[in-house]
Amino acid sequence: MKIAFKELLFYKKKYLLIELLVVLMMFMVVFLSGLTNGLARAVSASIENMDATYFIVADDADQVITYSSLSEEKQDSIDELGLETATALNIQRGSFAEKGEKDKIDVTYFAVDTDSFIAPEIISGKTASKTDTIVLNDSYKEDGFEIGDKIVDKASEKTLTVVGFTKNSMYGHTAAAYVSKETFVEMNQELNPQYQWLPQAIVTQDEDLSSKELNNLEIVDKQSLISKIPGYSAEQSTLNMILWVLVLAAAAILGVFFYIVTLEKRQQFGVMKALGTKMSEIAYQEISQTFLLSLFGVVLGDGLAILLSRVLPSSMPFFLNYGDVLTVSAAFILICLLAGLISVLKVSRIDPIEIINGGED
Amino acid sequence: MSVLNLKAISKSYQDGEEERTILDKLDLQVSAGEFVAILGPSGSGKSTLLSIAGALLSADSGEIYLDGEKVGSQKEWTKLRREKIGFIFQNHQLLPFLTIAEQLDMIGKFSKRFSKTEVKQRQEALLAELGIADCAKKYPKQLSGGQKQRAAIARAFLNQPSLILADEPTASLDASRGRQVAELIRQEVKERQTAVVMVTHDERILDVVDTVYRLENAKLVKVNN
Repeated sequence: MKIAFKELLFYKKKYLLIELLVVLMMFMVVFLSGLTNGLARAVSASIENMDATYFIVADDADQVITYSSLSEEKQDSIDELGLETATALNIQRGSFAEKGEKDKIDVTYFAVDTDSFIAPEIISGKTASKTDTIVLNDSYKEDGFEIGDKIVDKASEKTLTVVGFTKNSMYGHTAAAYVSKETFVEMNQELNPQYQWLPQAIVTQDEDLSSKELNNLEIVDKQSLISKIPGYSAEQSTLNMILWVLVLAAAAILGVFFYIVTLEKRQQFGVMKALGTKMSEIAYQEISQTFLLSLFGVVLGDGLAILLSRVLPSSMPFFLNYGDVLTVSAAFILICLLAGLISVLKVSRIDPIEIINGGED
Repeated sequence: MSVLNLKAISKSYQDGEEERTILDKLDLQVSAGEFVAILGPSGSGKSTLLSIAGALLSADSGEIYLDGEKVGSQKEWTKLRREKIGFIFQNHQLLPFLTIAEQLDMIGKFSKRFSKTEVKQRQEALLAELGIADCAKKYPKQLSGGQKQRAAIARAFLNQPSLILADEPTASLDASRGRQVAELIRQEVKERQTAVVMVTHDERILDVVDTVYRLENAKLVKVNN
């Protein structure tokens, strides 16, 4: 390792260029990973944040909460389950404007019981327990909303007062806003006087529900529910594919670079072999060089991406999941090492006799 | 007892349609402390002979004994080169990214023949004897051609090999430096009782060596000095 490092230091310019490439590649990969996570969160964070295990929805809803409606009959069969924890959840897309303003802003209303385990975490202000109050995601602060502001729901023309803010709460690329069940009913009755409260989903923290069979109902775990949010899977699988293709492409480019450097050092390997250096020693030198280069590159690239994530505006869907960064980094180093092995294979084929037959400088 | 003993070594190459015999049942014995030079025009097979003696190339037929032991299959060659043979190449072939001391340490470390302190002592002694003690901390590019070749000599002798093979060691040096290098090799050969086979076409340094052979028509002919 020491000798490998000395060689890197001696040929500073050459290896710095390669290193720059590794850093940029890794930065790109990690940045894309952050974007993938950010977009995932923009679609699903409000559900992700819920400390829940299962969501019970109507079986004709295709596992999507907004398509579901739980009739009295269905609610009765849920009651028969004897759940230890259960709370109702309704989600509705809409838009609102600041009172007196025209510009509409998209929103997803969440009707939740403010005492329940799915109530949003309040970062400032208080919960929307009273009627005609609303808690907004903190991304609305960038639109100029503050506690005490009045907003008007565009569909029902109902005026609500902002009483608090929550954070990281998104659903289907719009920010979430939380109202109480009563407010939700009032909003809907403005449009349709006959409106009767019917929950769309019952959320529970109970374990081991997956084996239960229910008539007309479907029990969906959190991850499945998220993957069924319209657009989520398509977006994520595309981005993840790009991400891994990029990791592979980056490693392939590095592999080619290592290979060229190895070819340049052909003479040096021939001399070492002629002097009786074991192939295992040479392989160790080469692989440790690849390891050092990829490790430095990964650390710097990750660092750069993490620094950038600190200064990005919160409206940009970017979220670094450190677990994912670690996975991508480890995979990157591993693939680099594999690419380095190709060079080692090449070195193992060098015949030291070349050096005797007129080795030129 | 001779250190290197080549018995009836033959080697031929396919050269287009015809087969060219480079070495024909060639014999050679070199004893400890003997400095042997092999002369011959280029293409006469000097390098082939050196490669076969150095466990880099297999002969078509014949036997090689090193320190009285028969040289066996290719699998053992690397170990054999590491432990028993030292090489001095035409161009010094030092590693550019390590100082002289560092590369001698590396060679010592890889062979595991001597302890770390012994390697250090041998290294210092060799560099002093070769007159380049002040070059230990320098990189090859900071040295002159003669100094580089002397460092290469130190590397060849470091592990106390039984046999040293030198491939035109003076070819890239001017006359006086070439002579100096040859004299230094002789000095180490006598001091350390090593056997040396040097392939050369530099006839001006032949008075420094003990025995001179000429490779002619695939056979070695002894030249009277």
